[in-house]
Amino acid sequence: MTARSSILDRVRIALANREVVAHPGSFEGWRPFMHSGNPTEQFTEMFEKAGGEVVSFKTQAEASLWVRGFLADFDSLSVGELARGRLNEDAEPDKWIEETDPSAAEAGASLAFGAVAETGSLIMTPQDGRRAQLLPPVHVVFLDQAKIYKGLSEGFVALKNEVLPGDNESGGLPSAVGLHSGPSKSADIGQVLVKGVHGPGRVVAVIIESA
Amino acid sequence: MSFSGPKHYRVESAKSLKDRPSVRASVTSATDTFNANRSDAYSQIDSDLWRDWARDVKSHALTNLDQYLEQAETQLLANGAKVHWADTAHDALRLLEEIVRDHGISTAVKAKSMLSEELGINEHLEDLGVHVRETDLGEYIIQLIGEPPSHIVGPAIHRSLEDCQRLFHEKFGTPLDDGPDALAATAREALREEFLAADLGISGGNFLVAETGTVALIENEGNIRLSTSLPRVHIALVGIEKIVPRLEDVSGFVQLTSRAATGQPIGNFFSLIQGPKRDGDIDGPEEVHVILVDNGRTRLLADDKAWEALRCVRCGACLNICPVYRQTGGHPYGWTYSGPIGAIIAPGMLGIEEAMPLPYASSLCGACVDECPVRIPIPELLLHWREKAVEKGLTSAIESAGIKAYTKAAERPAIFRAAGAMLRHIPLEAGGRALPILSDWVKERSAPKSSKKSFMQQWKEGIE
Ligand code: SF4
Repeated sequence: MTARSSILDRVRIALANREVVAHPGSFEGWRPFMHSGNPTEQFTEMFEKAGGEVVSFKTQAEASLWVRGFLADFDSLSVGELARGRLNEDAEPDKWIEETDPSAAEAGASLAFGAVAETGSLIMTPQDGRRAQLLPPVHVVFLDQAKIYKGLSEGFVALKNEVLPGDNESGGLPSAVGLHSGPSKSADIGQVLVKGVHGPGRVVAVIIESA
Repeated sequence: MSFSGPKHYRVESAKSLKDRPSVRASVTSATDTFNANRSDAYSQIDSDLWRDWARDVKSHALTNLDQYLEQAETQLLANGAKVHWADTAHDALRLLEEIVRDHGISTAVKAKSMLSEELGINEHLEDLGVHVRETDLGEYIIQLIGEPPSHIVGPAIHRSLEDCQRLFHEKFGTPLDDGPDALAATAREALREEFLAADLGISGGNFLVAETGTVALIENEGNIRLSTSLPRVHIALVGIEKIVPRLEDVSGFVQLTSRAATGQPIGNFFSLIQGPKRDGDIDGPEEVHVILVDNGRTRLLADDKAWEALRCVRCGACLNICPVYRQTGGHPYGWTYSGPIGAIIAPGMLGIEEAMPLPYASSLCGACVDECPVRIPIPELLLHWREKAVEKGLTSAIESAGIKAYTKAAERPAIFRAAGAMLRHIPLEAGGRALPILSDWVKERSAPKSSKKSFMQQWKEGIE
């Protein structure tokens, strides 16, 4: 007998006389703070509370310009595949920094699939590149305001409905999704909060108000 | 590095209190912080509604477990992941060994997983000649020291800043007065190299979604994302009880679990892993293996009362609030899962004989049941196991007399609650004064009980 069948058999025997409990339905309407109804404000509040930073621009061109200025302070950069177009939309600045592998880069730029207001989370997909999202100590993330979803459930539905390139096996979900809701942190040493353990210690969400 | 089993509980707790007072100080301070953060986080939500919902989703999943496990398997396979089933720890280690051999793996990075502690993964990998590195900062610290975790969320909470300063000084030659930031930076640098070089990443799984075949993982450091993204092979060890039916359910569970564990609205990193890297992905593991582990879980599921303990999301809230756990941390329990949750699952998973005396490692004050996000009736289950212990003749006559009276009251919840409330006002027992630490303990959260030979007496016996 395989482990699979012996485990399933034992489960069935254990459950033979057990009353089946019904699923209580959706996790809806019990949101922590019934916010103003403005997902962008809610996202910003939550993301900042968790230690993240948020800047907001009317257009992609303004956002790109700001990000290029911000990144110019670093010596090396890694750019996520999806973010590339967003960075280059604007004219080249005078001086541009060297692009390098994420493992060596001081900063990384990405494009979020979207965000969740309720938890203050950026939704990151593997089409952008996981290493660029995780290895550099500073992470700058473009976010389209139209894709800030009210709750996690809505964010998941959007992920499932929006079939991404190369994704056709799991009902629309990419191979791996990361929700980033603030900088990397730990309190494992003497219960003192430290930022930037392993993942980026600084994360900046750059909201683009109009597409 | 591994545990020696629950049977030395009394001796080990007495030793901890006597010989290592800094453990008590560190654990108390860490759990105070956990408790304050959790209360705050619960107060921002309708926590009663959330917890009723979570209890029912988990009970639903557990009472349909066979179907959901099959669904998860089908979906994972469709996603391109490989699925394995392990009856026992031995099976799981054998499966791990096969993967290690097949892929010529020589280095592994590990994201914190209590199941991997339960199975003894590290020792086995080392025996196979694999260099294995814990990457959660707390796990890293205790791996360097060579001791097991003492808490399911904060594995190193029994260690003070001074302990860490001394450790890093010895290992890395850092100055003895390096602060937490500098120490963390040292660890980051050392571990970064290991992340980049590792062939294999090993994780647990907070939830396994049947509908989508998703392994979901909550964390704050980013080490789980790195361990599951960088190495070419990822193995997720998942207990069969981790099933939730739908992706939408996870949206509730990640929030409730984060609030219960650390008081955050959500962990700063949350991974949803469906399978290996696909066309169009820039990077990611070439293979994802999910090992579904029983190792005593179906045995616990078969118990008509205690099966409810399988709802546990391992948030640690019951440890943090427990006046008994708070005195010693987790080590004296002698098993991977300590505190109230450890005491109610050990008898089911290991057998009551093996788990003794853990069902007695509690004052039955009931504080845990008020905090549990999935409403596990912990005190009732402690009594349930004590009753079994009595039936099997594993306890003394004094204990059994006491427990019967208590159990009778416990069968009627109103009386049980009234009794619990009353008991909190019973004056200090004489035994408590014998050791100053113990009397402090009783003062802290008056934790008397009617049932058994007093907990303090048991401790004293341990000392003798
Ligand atoms: S029993 Fe409840 S409170 Fe304790 S760890 Fe499990 S879920 Fe958390």
